[in-house]
Amino acid sequence: MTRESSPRRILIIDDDPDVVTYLETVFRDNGYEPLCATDGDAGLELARAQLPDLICLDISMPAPSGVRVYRELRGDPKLSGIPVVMVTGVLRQFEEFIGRRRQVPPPDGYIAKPFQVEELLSVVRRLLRTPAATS
Amino acid sequence: MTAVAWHPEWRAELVDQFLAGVMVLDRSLAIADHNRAFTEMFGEARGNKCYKVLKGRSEPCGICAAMSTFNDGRRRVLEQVGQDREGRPVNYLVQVGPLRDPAGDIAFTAVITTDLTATKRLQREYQALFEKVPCYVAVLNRDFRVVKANEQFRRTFGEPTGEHCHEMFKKSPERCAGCLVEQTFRDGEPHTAPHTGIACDGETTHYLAFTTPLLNESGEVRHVIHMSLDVTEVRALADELGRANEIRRALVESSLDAIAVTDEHRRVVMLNRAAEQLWGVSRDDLVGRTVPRWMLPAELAPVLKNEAEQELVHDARVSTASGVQVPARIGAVSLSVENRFSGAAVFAQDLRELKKLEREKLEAERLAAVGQTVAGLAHGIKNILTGLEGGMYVTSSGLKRGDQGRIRQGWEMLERNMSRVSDLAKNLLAFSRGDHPEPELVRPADIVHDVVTLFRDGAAQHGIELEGVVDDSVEPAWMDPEAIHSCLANLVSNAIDACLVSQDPGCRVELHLREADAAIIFEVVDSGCGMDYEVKQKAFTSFFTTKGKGGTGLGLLLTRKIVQEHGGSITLESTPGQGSTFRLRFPRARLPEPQGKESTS
Repeated sequence: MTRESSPRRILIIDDDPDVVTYLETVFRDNGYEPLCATDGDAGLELARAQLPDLICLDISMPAPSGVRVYRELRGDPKLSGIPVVMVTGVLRQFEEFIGRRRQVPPPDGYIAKPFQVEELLSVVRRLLRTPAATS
Repeated sequence: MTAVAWHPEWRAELVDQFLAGVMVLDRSLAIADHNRAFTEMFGEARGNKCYKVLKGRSEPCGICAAMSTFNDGRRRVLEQVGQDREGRPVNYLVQVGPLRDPAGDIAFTAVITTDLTATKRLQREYQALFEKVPCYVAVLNRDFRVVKANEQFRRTFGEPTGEHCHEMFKKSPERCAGCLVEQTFRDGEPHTAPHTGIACDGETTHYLAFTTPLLNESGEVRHVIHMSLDVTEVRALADELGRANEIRRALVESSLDAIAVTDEHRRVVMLNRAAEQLWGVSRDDLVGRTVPRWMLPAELAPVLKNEAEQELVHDARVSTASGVQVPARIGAVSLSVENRFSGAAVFAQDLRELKKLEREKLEAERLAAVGQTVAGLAHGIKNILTGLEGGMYVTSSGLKRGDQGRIRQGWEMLERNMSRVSDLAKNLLAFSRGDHPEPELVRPADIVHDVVTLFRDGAAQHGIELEGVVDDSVEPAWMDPEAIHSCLANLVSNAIDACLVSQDPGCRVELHLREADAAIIFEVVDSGCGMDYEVKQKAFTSFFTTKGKGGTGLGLLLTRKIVQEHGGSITLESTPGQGSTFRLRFPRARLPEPQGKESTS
C-alpha cells in the first residue's frame, strides 16, 4: 500500500480541450493531481511555476509547437529532470525525427493517440516509479 | 605595155632589195661592197675588215668561214654571234659562197647574214615557258622514253636519263593501261585522263594528264608532249569535303530532331528520317516539291520567304499528312551562300513523348498529394477518436459516480467530436470531387474579380480593405474555374483571418494577377499577423490549423491539391507581425489539356 502523502502532479499540455479534459479526468480518478494548459507558452509557464512530477505533451500544436516546448523543457536546468511523455497521433514520424537529433535526448515515454487508459497509466506509473494503484 | 629587157647591171638594185644583209669580201677579208640591209645592221663598212665590223675584233677569227671558202670553194652555213652598229649583241645566220673570176679563180666570197635575234628571243621565251610552266611537261619519243622534261617534272619525278615514261611517273616497269601517249602516237590526236603517280620522294601524286602530238616537217608524229597538272591538293580537299559531307549526312539522318531543308523557292531539298516520321511523309514524295502549307506553322513562313532570319515556336502544333495534330517545338533558320538567300532549314522536336512523361509526372505528383492527404486524414481521425474516447470515458465515469456535471461534460465532448467528424466528411467530399480538373477556357481576371466581390463587404465590416490588382492583358487559359475560385477564396479567407488576429488596425489584403515567363501568377498578399518558422513549415500539412477547433486544417491542403492538378506550384513567404504572401504559379505549358483536343499518341 502506498503511503498517503501529497499526490504526484502531472502537467497536461494539449491544444485540444477535449483531450485535456480526458487526461485530466483519468489522472484525477487515479490519484494524481492534474495541471492543465491548452498551449505551449502557458504550459512552460506552469511548468516553471509548479515544477510538476511529470509532463504529458502534445506535439501537433500551433506556435509554439510541442517540439519547441520539449526543447525548452530540456534546455532549462530546473526542468530538464522532469520526465516527459509525448502524446501524439504522428508518433512514428516524431520518433524518427527526434531520434536523428543528437543535441536533445529522446523523451522518456510515448503514447500514441488514440490510447487506452491502462496503457497511459502504466507509462505514467513506470516513470513515477509508483506501484500499481488499487482502486 | 611593152616588155622591157632585163639589164644585168640592175643586179646591184636587186641585191639592195634583199632583207638579208649581203657583203662581198676580198682575200684580205676587207669588205669590197655590201647592200642596204647590211648597212642597216652593221653600218657603212666598205673597205673595213669583216672581223672588225661584225665582231669588233682587231684580228681575224680563229676559224674563219670566208677563208675556208677561199681555200676549198665550198658553200657554208653557220650561226654566228656578233655585234650590230650600236654594239648590241646580234645572232645571225651566215651563208658563205665563192665568187669566181672569168678564169675560175675565187676572187671574192659573198657572205649573206640573216638576223636571228628575234627568232632566238622567241626560242628563249618558249624555253622559259617550257621550264617554268607549273605543270609536268615531258617530251616522249616512240619508245616511250622521256627525251626532255621541264623543271617541275625534274623536281618531282627526277632527272630523265632515257627512262620510260611509266618508270618515271609511276615507278612501274609496265606501260599503263590505256596509255595516252600510245593513243596520240596512233591517231595524232590529243588525249586526256586523270592519273596517280609516285614522286621521287615516294609521295602519291594525283595529276590530270594531257598528250599532244609533236609533228616533224613531213607531218609525222615523231614525239608526243605529255603535260600534266598536279591535282593532289585539289584531290585532298575533295576527299576532306567528301568526309565532312558523310559526317553531316550521318548526323542529319540519325538526328532525333526532324530536319527539313528548302531552297530559295520553298522547294523541299532534303528531309531526314525523323522528319518523315513526324510529318508522316516519304521524302520521295516531297523532295523537289514546294513545302505543303499544312506542314509548317504560319510563324515560320517569313523565314522560308527570306523575310526573317530565324524563328522558334516552343509550343507549336504540327499537322501530319493524315491531319493529326502533334505537339512540337519547331524552328527555322534562313540559309545563305555568299550573302545570297539560298533557302531555309527547318528543325522540329516531337514533344509527344515529353508531354506523355509530363502528364505522368503530374499524375505522380497528384498521387503523392493524395498520399499525404491520406496520412493526414489518419492523423485527424486519431485526434477525433481520442476526443470521442475521452467523451465516453468522462460520460461513463460520471454515470458510475452519479456525477451529473461530469456526465454533461462528457456528453458535450461526444457532441463536439461528432460534429468534427461531420466537418471532416464534408471536406473529404470536396477533396474527392472529380479526379481531374475540368478545364474551360476562362479569363483568370474574371475569377479574381468574383473572389474580390465575394469577400469585399465582409472584410470591410471588420475594417479590412480587400483589393484586386489585375493585369488585364493576361490571356484566357484552360483552368477549372470552380477549383481555382475555391483556391483563391480559401487563401483570401485565410488572409482576412490573419488580419483579424493582427494587432495592427487598418489591415489590407490584395489579390494580384499577372503573367511572367509564360506562367499565370496569382498572389494573395496580406498585412496580417504573419507566421513564424514552425507554422510556415506546417502550413501545408494535413489537419494543421492555427484556428483552434475553428479550422479543419484541410484548406491549404485542398488548395495545394488543386494547384498541383493544374500543373502549378504554391509558395509561401511570411514574416511574423508583417504579413504573408501566398503565390500560385501556373506555367501555361503545364495547364491541363482541354478534353478531346489531345493527339492520339
